[in-house]
Amino acid sequence: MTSGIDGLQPSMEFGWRSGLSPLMRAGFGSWWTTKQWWINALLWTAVINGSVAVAVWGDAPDELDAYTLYGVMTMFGAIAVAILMQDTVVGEKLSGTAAWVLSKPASRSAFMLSKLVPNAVGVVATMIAIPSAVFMVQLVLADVGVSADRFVLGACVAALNLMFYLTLTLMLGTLFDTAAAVIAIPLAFAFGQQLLGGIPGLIPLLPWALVVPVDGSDTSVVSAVMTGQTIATPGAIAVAAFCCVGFTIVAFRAWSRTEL
Amino acid sequence: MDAPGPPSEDLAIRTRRLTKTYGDTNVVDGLDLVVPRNSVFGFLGPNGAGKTTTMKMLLGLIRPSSGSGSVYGLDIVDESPAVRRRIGYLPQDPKFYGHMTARETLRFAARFFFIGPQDGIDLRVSEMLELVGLSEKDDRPVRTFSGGEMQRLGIAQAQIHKPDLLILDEPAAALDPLGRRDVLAILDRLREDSTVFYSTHILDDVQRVSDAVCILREGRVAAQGSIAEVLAGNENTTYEVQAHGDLDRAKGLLETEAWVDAVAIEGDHSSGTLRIRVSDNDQAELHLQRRLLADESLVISEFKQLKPNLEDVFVSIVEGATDDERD
Repeated sequence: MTSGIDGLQPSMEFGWRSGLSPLMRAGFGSWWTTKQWWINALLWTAVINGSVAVAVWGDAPDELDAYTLYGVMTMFGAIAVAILMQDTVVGEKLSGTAAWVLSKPASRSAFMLSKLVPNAVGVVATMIAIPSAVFMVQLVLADVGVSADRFVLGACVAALNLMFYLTLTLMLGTLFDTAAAVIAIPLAFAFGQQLLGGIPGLIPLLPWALVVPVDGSDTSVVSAVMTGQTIATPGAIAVAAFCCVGFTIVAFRAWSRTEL
Repeated sequence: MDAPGPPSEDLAIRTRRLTKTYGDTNVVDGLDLVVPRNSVFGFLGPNGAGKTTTMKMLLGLIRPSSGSGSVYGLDIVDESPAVRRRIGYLPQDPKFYGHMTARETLRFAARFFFIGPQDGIDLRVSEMLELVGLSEKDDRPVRTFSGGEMQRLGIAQAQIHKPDLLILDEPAAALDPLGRRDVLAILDRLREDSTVFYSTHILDDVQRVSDAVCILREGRVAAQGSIAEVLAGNENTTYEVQAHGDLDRAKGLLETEAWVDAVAIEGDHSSGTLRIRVSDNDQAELHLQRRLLADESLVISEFKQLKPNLEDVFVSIVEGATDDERD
């Protein structure tokens, strides 16, 4: 008869940390031990750098255009985040893997953290960090003066835009039981922001303004930060950050009450 | 009032008035469940009776609307993680992460209970793969597994930490007869170390491997106890009479008796079998043979009282509920 647990050390994770280690390991594993990471890294490096290369290496190189284009192209990454994340919670709810995992001594908070942190790290690394590093190499090779600090700060703003869509999709996954609702709302929001220009004072506060110039400005928040110019729409940073925190809190609370 | 039964320390599961309500519907309705330690306990009931909901409440996946429950004395709501440390669970339609192999799935499950050493965990994983006959397929991604293989992997992951209590929701549902036989053999081996609480629709299997059963009807306990107790508690007894003659007339005469529940004719109406279900067996023993022999047109070649099996009891309980609803 089986008896192979005698020499094993029991897990000492209790409370909200129950099951955190295996869940985190699985969460990071789904990115870094599969082809997901390099497919995304290659795709977004090509998409972002292919576009900005026109501004960096074209007939009339323009530094500001390159930074602005960089910001705009990361917006496509944000949409991809919503598509990638749509199934993260709903898929597990519907397939039954969430019920299976939570039948183990794992807390709901640990489960949600294992969806938030590894995916945040995965998308920021593959959709922002790696493509941005290549973009920086392009700029250096083209003899464009780059401030590393400002560049990293600008990339962080682009990452904040991604996090907005990531946390929004995660929250919707806890609130709805169909993938359609979870994907439709972020996509409608992403594309619908540009239609809100008619409402005075609203669009500079939306995450759209982080990566796309609005209200007649030449710069988005990203390009302004990277070039050291005055940020025309600083409210967008605060709103996006506040929303990320709010969405995360709602997601954790809703998940703690979800019946599986 | 508390349900009667053995003292709590002898119990793996104990629920008191456990209820789960959705809208106006009580899916589980004041359930008093008593599952002795180290038993193989069959949890039966028609679809929608509340079996899976009860199991999920025990696991903390669904919150009870009222009532309470405990597993080895631990409260299922307030001490849910501690409860889950002692439980291994096989869902009705087990689903695991498709990108993981069988071995990785078991390692993942083991990590919820053990931090190491790694070679010890790997040894345990190999033992479980061996137990369920998946050693040869250990490196295949789970998404390529058939329903039967998924079920076997489900049993392995549920048993990975050698739990005190195994909760298995329809463990043989997706299996062919050979797979079912293997699962029953596995259950039989696991009973040495664990209490097995399982739901199924295959009543032959229950009678073969279970020590005790609970039959659930519309979220309530309709019958509970050892197999012998549940069979003894069956109010309906059936007699089978092979005869020649006017079987229709005999049927009509018997149906006028208050202690006769139902009469059916199988075969030809002049030569066949009368199946007589009685509600009062004492009266039937006294009068049934006399009534039949009194009919001179009838030639009886065989008369026997059928020994009730679990399926008869189950059908009688479930049909009883349906009849009550019609009334």
